[in-house]
Amino acid sequence: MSTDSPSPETGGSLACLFNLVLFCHDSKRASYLEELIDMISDKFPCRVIFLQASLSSHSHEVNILSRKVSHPKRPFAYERVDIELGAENLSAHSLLFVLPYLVPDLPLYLMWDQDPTEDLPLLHAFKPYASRVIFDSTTIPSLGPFATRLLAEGSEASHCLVDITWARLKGWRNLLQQTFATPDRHHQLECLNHLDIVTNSLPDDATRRHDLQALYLQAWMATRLGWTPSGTQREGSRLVLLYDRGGQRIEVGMSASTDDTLPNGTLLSLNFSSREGHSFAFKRQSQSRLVRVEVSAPDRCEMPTALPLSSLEKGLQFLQELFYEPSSTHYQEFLGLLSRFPPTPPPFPWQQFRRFRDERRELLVPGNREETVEFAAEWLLALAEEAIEKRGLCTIALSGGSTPERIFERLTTHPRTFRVDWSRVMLFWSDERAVPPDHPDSNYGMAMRAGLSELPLLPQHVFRMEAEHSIERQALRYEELIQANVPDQTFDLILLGVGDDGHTASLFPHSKGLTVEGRLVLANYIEQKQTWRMTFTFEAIHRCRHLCVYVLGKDKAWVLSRILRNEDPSLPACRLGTKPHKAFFIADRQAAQLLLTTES
Amino acid sequence: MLAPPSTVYPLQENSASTKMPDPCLLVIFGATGDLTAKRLVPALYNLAREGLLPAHFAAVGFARRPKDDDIFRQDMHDAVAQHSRVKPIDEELWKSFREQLFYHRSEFDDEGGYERLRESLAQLERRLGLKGNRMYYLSTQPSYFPVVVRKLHEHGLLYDVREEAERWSRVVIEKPFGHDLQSALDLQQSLSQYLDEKQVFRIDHYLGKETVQNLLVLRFANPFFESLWNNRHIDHVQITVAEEQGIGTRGRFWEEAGMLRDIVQNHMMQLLSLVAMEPPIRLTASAIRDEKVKVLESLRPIQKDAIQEYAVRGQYGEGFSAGSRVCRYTEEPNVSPTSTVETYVALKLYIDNWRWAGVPFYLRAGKRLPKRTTEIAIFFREAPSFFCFSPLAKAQGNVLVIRIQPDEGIALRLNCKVPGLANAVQPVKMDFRYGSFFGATPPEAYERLIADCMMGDSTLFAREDEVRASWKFLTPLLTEWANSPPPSFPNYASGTWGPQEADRLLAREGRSWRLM
Repeated sequence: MSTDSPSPETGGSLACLFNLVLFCHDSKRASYLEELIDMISDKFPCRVIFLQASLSSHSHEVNILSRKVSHPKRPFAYERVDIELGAENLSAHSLLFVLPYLVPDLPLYLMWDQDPTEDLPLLHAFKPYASRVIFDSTTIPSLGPFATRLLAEGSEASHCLVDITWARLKGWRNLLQQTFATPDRHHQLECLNHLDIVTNSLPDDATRRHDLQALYLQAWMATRLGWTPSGTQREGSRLVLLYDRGGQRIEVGMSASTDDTLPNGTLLSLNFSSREGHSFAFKRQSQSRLVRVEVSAPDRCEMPTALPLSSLEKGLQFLQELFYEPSSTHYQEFLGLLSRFPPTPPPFPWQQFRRFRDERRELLVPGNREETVEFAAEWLLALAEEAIEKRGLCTIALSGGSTPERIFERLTTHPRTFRVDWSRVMLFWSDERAVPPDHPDSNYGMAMRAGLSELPLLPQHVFRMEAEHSIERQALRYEELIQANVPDQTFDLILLGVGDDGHTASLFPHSKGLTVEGRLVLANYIEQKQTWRMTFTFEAIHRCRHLCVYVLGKDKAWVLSRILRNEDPSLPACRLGTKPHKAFFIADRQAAQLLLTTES
Repeated sequence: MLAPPSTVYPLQENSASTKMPDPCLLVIFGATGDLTAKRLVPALYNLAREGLLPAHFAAVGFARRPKDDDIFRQDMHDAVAQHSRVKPIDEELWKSFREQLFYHRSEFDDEGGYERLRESLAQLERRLGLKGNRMYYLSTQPSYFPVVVRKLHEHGLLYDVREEAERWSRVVIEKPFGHDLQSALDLQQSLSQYLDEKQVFRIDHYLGKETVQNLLVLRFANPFFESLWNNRHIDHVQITVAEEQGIGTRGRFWEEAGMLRDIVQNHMMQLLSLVAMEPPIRLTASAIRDEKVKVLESLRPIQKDAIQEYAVRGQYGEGFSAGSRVCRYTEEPNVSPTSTVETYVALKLYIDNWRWAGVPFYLRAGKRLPKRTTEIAIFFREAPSFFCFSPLAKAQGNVLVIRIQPDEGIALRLNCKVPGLANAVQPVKMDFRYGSFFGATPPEAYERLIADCMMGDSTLFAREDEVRASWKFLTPLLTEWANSPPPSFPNYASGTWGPQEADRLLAREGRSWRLM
């Protein structure tokens, strides 16, 4: 909305083609939805009913504002009802606030800004009235599981499910269809072996990820051209999806770039190349609807052309797709592919790295530092996926330190990340320093900066230790949080490190926290550093299914060997691992050198 | 209404809203004419802007004037800048678009010209990787139609329709399609020697208008109209095509044509057949046109001796238009001072079939009328006269008005009680206007028609038998008017609703033209 934004209560005859009920669960997305409303009302005037969860008002309060919105450049006005609901009312009741404002006889379209397959009373209340449920997949954390649920729902639903991301790609789908609509071009498409997609990475509050349109577009092409997914790999920051077509390998690379004249997630360029040496480059022009198309063959280059990406009128094709297009078989097939993507990887082979074990501990040495970080990240993702599959939820407790930092960075870019339904992951911390979250020493702050903030986690699933004030009271509160949110107070995974002095979490040698019983979290005074820390106790640490202890670098070699050889029982880290809850020490070759040399 | 594309590529989406024109070459014969500059190239440019022109496409202008590609492109740039419905011209897009325009200089009957055309088309196709889809657009003088088609055939530029599985050739023909029945038959004869009906697309740009297409939806997607759409409920129908302007600079053309040929024979007959047709058995080009032809074939022929009861002609005299004084028809440039050509026509028609028996259709078309408007008004029967709520303000019959232009929309006149103790009745209007409900501007008629032709959808084009039936019905009238001296022309003043005879045509039966 620019300077000529709608001004209420001026002329324009009232027009209405349908009822549009929009939900805004996350106030950060409000301005994004406002832009959408503005675009819609320019082409298809409708009764807009905008429901928003209010942060300021009391939980039972409801504010309703109804008004006529007109625009000097538009021949028509539309009516808009804003309903602000307190959290208590944003349940199934909100239907009752909407019903009086519907224009009779005209269809109701529901625009839902979260997962439309969620089992929510609110959604169930609206669905029988809605003939279209329009949703935005930029808010969906994990596409694979989502596609599976959507397929199941789509097969029985009476309403039409409309995917905004799919609709946004209309222009590109048309453009590609046109470009390859001759026998020669089609032949080149058949022997395609490389496709590179670059998207615009310009993080904003409304769209959680920038790669969604790229994922969609390539999956659409894969279904149309009969490619079978065969794997994924990572080349630096580039994600590569592998496909197979009649024994031929096809690589689809996705990476990011930045153009601040275009919104986050916009496709910036597509580069096709075929085995016969033909290439097709599509480049989105800055600040324009045009795409520059460059075609070349081994023996010649064609004159570059410019093709428009979408219809002349801003958003028209997109809106027609939203409001008038029936569910297409193309979309169904596309979902089918997404639900199978990426292909199930082989079981995670951690046993091959086993170097040492006793009845309560194992040592895994995956290789050098880099290989160890890769291993740690992948194992974490595999465990998370497994936990979600088995229990529908994954609870993880993280720690601070430089090793986890490397692992967190790797997590965000690892291809396996796509397989994890991050909305079902809950994050806790095993210890925290007495600093605010934006302090460079904050374990929470480090994890977020290292990349966890980029994962599609739900904010309400991230439990930070508030150690910057009233630390003992906060520790008790954290215990309550664990009791309330972690089933059986048993974490799926706890990540720990080991200090040179043998400390783990913030359980330093000789500190009081080593001996306290009956507590999960406490405030521990660290004599050596003359500071307070909040930390898990061993009681909490051993309440987990997997306990991973990362030990990297030659500086840790001595302490690791003392721990695993039980040479100094006063080292807190010696106590890690019990018979029922084994501790996995994951070390690189340098950290494990003292143990490995004596072994061999 | 969608014809299957000749080849389906895997990326193609098979939904109605996503139909895409086939890649093809377009050759425009008469490329230096007005139509090319004002309609065709602006339409192509707008299709390109919408992303609806095939990516593999080139347009070759074929004309006699000495020009080269660059001059032609520059001329077309200026034409688009002036006539496109969207301004200003997008220069970046134009840079690509201009590369798709070519000029081919030749006489329309020059063997060498066609030979060179064949070579350059083949070369273009190789460059663009096309399979050979060709669209030939004839916007020359009608007298050249037969020779152009024959030369195209002789130089192997048309394909046999039986071999069109992989590639197609289509010929688009601009009106007029003949000037009477015999000439239309002759023209058809010369085309059908070389072309199958499937390959011929006769443009009637009225059919490209959004509201005309909406007629089918209005009638057949709203069953309640259909149940009233017959002689038990409809009293009569009025179709009006009114122009505010005179003939302008088209004097030479108008002297040859006249209102009956220019508007009635094609546009009005199309509107009439869409309003009166039976529901087609399916929404395909052939099924729809089958039903339209039946309407034209059921028109009750006008008997020579009863012409005055069914037809009125007129010619405008001096008067006012848009507030300023304007001259009479015979004083327009290139018009004979003694001309008897009509600028106004009113007709009363009957469609002799079960549905319409006894329902008159009144058609009027005129130049220099008070305003520019095209509409169809359906007058429903009135309530029995004894059933009178108020002797003072009587109920009026229901009227459904379909406005084609301007203010495209639909209005229905109903009767309501005036609030108060007395039972006064007031007619009120329910009015739907496209412009007040849909923000998007509809494409120009030519955009739709060119795209349809590239897709092979002939629903919105006139079929040979439609044209023939229409000429067959009107030719006796044309002949009679040509042979008998007109009433005292001019018989209506510019800026009025036509001659008084036209009013009497309806008044005789107790009806009157709708006040517009």
